[in-house]
Amino acid sequence: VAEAALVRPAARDTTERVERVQTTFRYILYVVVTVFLFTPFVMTVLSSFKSSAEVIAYPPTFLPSVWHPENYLQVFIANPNFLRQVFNGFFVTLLLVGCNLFFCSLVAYAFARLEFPGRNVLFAIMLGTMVIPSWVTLVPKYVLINNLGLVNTFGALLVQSYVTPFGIFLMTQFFRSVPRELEEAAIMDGVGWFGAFWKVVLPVARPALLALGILSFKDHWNSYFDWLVYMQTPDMFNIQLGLAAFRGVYQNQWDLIMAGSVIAILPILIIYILGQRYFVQGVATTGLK
Amino acid sequence: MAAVLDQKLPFRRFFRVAWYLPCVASSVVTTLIFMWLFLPDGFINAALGFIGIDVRINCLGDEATALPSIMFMNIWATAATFMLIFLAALQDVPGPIYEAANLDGAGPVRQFFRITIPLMRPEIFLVVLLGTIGCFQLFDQVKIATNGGPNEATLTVTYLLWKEGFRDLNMGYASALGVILFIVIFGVSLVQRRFLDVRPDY
Repeated sequence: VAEAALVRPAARDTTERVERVQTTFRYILYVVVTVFLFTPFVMTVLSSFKSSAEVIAYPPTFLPSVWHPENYLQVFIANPNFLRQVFNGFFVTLLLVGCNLFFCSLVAYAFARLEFPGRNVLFAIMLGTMVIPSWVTLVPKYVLINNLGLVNTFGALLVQSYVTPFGIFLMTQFFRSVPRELEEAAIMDGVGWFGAFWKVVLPVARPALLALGILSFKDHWNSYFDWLVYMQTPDMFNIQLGLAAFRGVYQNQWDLIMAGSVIAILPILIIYILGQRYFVQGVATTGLK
Repeated sequence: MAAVLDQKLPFRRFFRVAWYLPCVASSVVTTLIFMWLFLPDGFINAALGFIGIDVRINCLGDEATALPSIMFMNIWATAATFMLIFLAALQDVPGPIYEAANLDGAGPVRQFFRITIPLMRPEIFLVVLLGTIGCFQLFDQVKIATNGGPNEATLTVTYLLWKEGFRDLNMGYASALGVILFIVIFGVSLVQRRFLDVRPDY
């Protein structure tokens, strides 16, 4: 961040003018990029309060002429499964985030600390699976889960996502940076490996766990494809799939679709604003979203 | 973009949140928003009309414009993530290098092209690679917005795979497509690696 102050032309008569031009230029860039990235969301929020006629009127209006907050109630009435779908989304997301945090750090701890034959090979194989596009394994995985009788149950999502290579990788990187002395004292006291992991290492790993938790919440809450493939009846959809299906049926109810979209963004937006620092760290350290 | 976000300006926090929003919003939501913006009576057409181009294109319904529209959606949705990677890289570029450049009389534009870009080569490679891999696997936008249509103008490999495997229950064909997709992506990544992945020398 300090370099911003350094990137300045050497002291000359024109310095002030150059600086003014630069600042203006920066602000223009800011505004342009913000308009490009942010306006669609502003439009969405505003349109979610418009009447169904106004939301598709031409020429479009910016502010709603009459505010219709009841759209947010109407979306639950027009799609009777919507409440259930919001709940499904939350339930599975929270469950999977919990599983990811626990199992990924457990596996990662083994990779980072325990000595066992074939450890490095296993770690390489585990990392290798991240390179394979999920499309390659899609069909065999579906057949497997189908034979297990898990299609159209939450089990289908749990068995394939309760632990992820990405999570293991992130936690392993972190555990490797924790000094061994910390646990050695605990192990000497006779709490064993698991005791050391649970009581000493995990509390230290809070920032990494938060980063993983936020990223995994985002992935599972936003998950669309897995639900599309494995869920068959509307009462088993999550909010994303529910929204997509809703628009398939009610082509022109854009006011309700927009209200539903706002509801779908809100949880992840709140979590993101609260944990912004950890989220950015997580993406930055792994180079993955 | 990242170069701008790195600088100290008022409201930086607000800008960061605003700019990363596309990156945290789900593909379903962003696709729905853009479908609405792309309507013949939508904002995009209104904006075009405002600057004098009164065409009223049916962006997603017309064979000629459907794929560009989907591409635009995808660029918009991934720009924020890639910016994040560049931002992290920018913070690693050592400040004294710029200082030295200043003393040598290099202006900001020249510094950007001669110092910033070469030092960020690994990240540029990563972004190009991730972008390519991501685009090969484009699915959600196609499924939600156009279902591969109109007249297969937006048919992607992954959409074909899903359609064959899960709509027409032609699972063997779908698996074969998956393997081919993997080989193609792998090959392209290798080629990119050869041309782009050069370590910067200080």
